[in-house]
Amino acid sequence: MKTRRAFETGVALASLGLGALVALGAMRRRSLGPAAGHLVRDRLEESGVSSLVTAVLLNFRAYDTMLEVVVLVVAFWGAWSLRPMHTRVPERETDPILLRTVGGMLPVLWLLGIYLLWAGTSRPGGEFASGAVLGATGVLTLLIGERVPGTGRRVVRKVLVVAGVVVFMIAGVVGALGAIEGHELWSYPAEEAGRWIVAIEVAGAATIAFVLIGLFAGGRERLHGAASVRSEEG
Amino acid sequence: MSSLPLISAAIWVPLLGALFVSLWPRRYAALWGMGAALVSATSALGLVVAVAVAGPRRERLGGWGAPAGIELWVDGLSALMIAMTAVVGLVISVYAVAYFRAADGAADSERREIDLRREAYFWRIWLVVWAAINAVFASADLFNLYVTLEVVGLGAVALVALAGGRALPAAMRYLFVTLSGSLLYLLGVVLIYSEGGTLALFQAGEMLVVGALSQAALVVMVVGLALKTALFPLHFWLPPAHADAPAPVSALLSALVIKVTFYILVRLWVVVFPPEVSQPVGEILMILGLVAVIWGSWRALRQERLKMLVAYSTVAQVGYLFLVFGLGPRADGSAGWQAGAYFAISHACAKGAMFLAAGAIARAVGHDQIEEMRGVGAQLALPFFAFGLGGISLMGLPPSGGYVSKWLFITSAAATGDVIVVVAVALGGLLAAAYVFRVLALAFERAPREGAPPLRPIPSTLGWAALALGAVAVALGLAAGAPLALLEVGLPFGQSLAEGVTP
Repeated sequence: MKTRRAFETGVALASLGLGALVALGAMRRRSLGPAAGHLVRDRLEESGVSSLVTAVLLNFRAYDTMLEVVVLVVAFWGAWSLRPMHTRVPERETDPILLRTVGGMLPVLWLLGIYLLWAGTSRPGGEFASGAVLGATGVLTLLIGERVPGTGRRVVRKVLVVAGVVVFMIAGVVGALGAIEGHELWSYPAEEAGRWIVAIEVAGAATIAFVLIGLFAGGRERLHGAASVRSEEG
Repeated sequence: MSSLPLISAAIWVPLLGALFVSLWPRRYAALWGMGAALVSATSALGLVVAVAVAGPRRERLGGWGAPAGIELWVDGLSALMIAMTAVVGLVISVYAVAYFRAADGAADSERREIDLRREAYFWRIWLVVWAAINAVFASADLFNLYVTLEVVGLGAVALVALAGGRALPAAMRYLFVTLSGSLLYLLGVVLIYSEGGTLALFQAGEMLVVGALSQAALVVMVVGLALKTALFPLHFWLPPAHADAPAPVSALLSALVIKVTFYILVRLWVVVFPPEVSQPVGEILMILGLVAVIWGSWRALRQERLKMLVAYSTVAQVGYLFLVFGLGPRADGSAGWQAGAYFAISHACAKGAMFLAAGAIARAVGHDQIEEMRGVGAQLALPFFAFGLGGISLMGLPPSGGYVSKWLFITSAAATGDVIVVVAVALGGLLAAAYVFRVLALAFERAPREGAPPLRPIPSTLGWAALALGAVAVALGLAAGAPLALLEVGLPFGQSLAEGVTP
């Protein structure tokens, strides 16, 4: 117990020290304002979309974004590899208030998620925003004891998990083959970039949404909420 | 020919392999996984050969170039690290086929189900980790390094947790450590970006000036990365995480995953931060490294479990790695840095061999209590021989990779007058000899084992795979010329050794 207290104190002191150091460093910044923003703005026309954020995420730094989707996939696999852990989750009757309010909102939420995806090409939105909203919608669906459509089948789940990365890779290779000079991945001409970015976003949003739902479900294969588990047992 | 995207291929092949393996039913996981491992190693070696023959390579992803887009850059140092990953990764894959297959002898169906799932998830996560390790070594972008680091970290945690049981709390602690480590690194990236306005490694190096901001950035990044590399006294998480994981996972964590953060630190030192900023921190890291060598070896000597002993030995060996941050900038030419890089690859082979051997021995004996291994050596000659070969490299006996790197350490330390480094390197070797011989002497005792259950049969692949890595560790001492020549490609350390590369 004593070593634990000493350890915790040590960590606290070290964090305070590092925080102070970072604050000190940040105060000494020489300039304010987004440092590379103008660079992106100058080349926005070549990127195929009119939203700055989408251009950075899916064209200029597409490789980073692909790896971020990989992070989600790894987290999903890590959580699902632990599946047969018999931890009991305290279950209770599905809240009637939750049932009523969420039940009516679900279609609107699905629609909102899809709208965010479409909005991403010209204004804030895109695969991460859309995936997060769709994922949250799926979690609410589970909470009221309903199934998320399609996810009951293993084949669908497997394809959903990898889709976001695979479409990214295909776009990269096709971009490399279509480039006039050199063979750099994702280097498609501006007129084709837009189409590919939409394809990446659709697949990416599906993967992100499914991974978030799957992480919440924590490896329960049928992906349904507490209520229907009980009804099966009962 | 030169426009082939070989760097991307080295990253994409294992990644695609992982996705592919995940799509097939579980019982094919080992088959497709091993196939993917073979193709991954081949593509990585293709890249390494191309770099060795034609010099450093660069890829501008999306065709954008450095400030707006991301660049990949592979020079001699990166190529050597990618080669290390390919060799060690391939042997670990062969071992893993036998290791997870052997486990499904269980008759009971629930147990079998768990084993099958473990095997299936091992392959896909391990291939992603492999891709991400290559991606770290190839990256020339500070933020991209953060993303790849996250993939490596999360994947490593998931692999530790595969063992279940007592590995779960160790994995949980490892998760917290690895996440805080990457976040600290990210904090440093933010500071650098706010000053230089660029994330590209080489451009950031040109922009940074000496001052409070760069000092703060360096310190948070060093703390974060040293935490993930398990430098004393931030090593507290390593022994349980490395020792309780499944044997192939222990091997790849100790051999490869901790080298990833070490590599990033080397790049920060050589490329990004001005010497005035990094010099004082380097001195501190060197002192901590010296303490780690002694402390880790001492703790290894006192362990009761074989895998814990090997894990504490990693704590000690990490200490040697950190000597370079003091020695590297001071030594003539790049001798200090080369010592560190050579130490990293020979430790990867030696420690990989020892963890694989320890896993095979533990499977045969049924546990890994050292005291109860009295006299089992004769029946388990193959894994114990592999353990010994790895041990030779750890001790620094000729002819082995460990010997060459320690020789480089001692010559560069002697040239700069750091007598204490010479003493510590020698003392660390003696302590390593003590803990390796303690195990070997006990195992090859003639006294019959009384009352102990008979040994379980193990697939011979387990022993042979361990032996193969041990042999590579020794071969690195016999043929040091080629790796050291590769290390000079593109002059990653800014200057070449004047003369006398090989001992």
